[in-house]
Amino acid sequence: MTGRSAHEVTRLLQDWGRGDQAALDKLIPVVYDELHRLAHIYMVRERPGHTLQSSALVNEAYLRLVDARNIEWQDRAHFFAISANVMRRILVEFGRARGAGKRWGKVGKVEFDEGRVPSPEQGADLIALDDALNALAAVDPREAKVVELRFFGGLSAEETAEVLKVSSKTVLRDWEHAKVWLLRELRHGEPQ
Amino acid sequence: MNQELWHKAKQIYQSAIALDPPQREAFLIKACAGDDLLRREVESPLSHRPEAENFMESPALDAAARALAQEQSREPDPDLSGRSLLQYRVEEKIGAGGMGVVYRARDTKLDRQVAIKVLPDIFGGDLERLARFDREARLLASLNHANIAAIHDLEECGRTRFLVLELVEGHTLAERLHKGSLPVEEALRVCCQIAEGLESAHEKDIIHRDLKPANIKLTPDGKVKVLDFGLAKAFHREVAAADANHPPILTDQMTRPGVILGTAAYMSPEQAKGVAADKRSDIWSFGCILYECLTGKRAFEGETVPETLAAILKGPNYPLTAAGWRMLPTKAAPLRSTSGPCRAKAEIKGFPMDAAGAPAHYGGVMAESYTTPARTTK
Repeated sequence: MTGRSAHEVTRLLQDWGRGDQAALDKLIPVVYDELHRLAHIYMVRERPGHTLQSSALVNEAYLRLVDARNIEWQDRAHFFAISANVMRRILVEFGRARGAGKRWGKVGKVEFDEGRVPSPEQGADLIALDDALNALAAVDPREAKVVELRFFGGLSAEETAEVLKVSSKTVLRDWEHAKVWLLRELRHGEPQ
Repeated sequence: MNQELWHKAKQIYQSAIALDPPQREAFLIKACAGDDLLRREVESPLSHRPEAENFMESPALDAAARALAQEQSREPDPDLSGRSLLQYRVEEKIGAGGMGVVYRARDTKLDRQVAIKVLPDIFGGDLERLARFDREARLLASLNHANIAAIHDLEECGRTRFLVLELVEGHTLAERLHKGSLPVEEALRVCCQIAEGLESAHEKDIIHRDLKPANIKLTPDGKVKVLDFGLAKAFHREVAAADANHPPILTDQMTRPGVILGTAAYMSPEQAKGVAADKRSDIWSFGCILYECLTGKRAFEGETVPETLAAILKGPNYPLTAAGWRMLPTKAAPLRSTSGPCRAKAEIKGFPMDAAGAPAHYGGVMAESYTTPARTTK
């Protein structure tokens, strides 16, 4: 993590949460580092005979970035909310910079070892998703938060429920609805 | 869409999915009560339900990393053959690994053949990491030993960064081992030279971290050169000290491209556990190589990387214990006379040398190092 400990990342996230804009700039390379690391694993996995548990890897990466173990219980919810928002900003910005107008960052299951390059039309991308999520937030802020926390923040339904102070069941219902609604938005490409 | 319509549609949608599909139609007609707009707002998401199953199921970091991986694998490094980078005339591609593409080149200034390793852009514009890589490369360039392939320089030409390395002709030890074990004398001659190189680097506190047969070259005139000394560290951040609450599953060692079984097999238990490597890790790898040279078999085998690592971590029943070494064919006599450098190495490590010969000692060093983890090796 560019020599940064999880503790430092935690501090930076908290600083940013308190309005320190410079903290975000320091977090960007940390997230990029983690991204490149994961990308490398996927490239290795692309070779025949290599199967790695990608969900475990992703969870691990999130844990390295968003380590809430040492956070006071009362602050956890706030911390998760900040982390998810930071992840969203950084990843979407990263996609924008890489994509330069192109679709980038397919959101959905990618059969990576089939050796096929999925056509852009096949999937939604991170940038379009970000826009659709803003539209969602305008009509249903909580549902949009559920998506930000789970999808960008990598949180479980339980953690998301903790942040939003609702039941896990509510989170799952919102999540299910958000998925179909966002998918429709992305398919039709016309914000309502 | 207004909030009222939204929430109505959401509520109806959620009630509808709780019903069996055949019952939904009747429910929708009733619930929407002739409001076509409302009905469309429920039906359209419903129609996307099957497709949504996989949508966003892995988090954004995963999606971004996959996109990046795809982007990188789609854009192979351009072949630089025939081009000039500063004073280096690039001749031909001679290899490609996780840490860059290697070319044979001519240094027109010093009029000599060199190898250049073009570094992949893995730092993503991270200046701090670049600077660290720079420092590491310069430290490695200070290594000067007949059994270590020298790093001459780290250069930058436009956006291309490359290492200028000593050009070493010949096959790798890995290629040689494909044909089976080495005769005892040859195994010792090769391994003693590896030990000499290791020794000299360790004196400067430089650790290889990725010692394996593929990183060892056998030149046509009988010299042995260890390649890529310390580069693994320069490229990848050091893994943080082990965290009892959250032991890392994979380390950078295993996660860079090109890391395959061939690397995992020579990892020390620390590396397999994801703990920072130290000199002992190199000695461990060395022991594995020596074992393989003599027996033609890998010290630790597995069909997959995790299986191999599990074999390494399994504990004291591995074949590299002193007992394992003693099971080698009776080769003790020639070992005694030719184990000078290994002897020196073993003595530095604080292990008295006796007639059993270097392999036994290395086996002993390894076994000791790992059964008494507190032991320091500096």
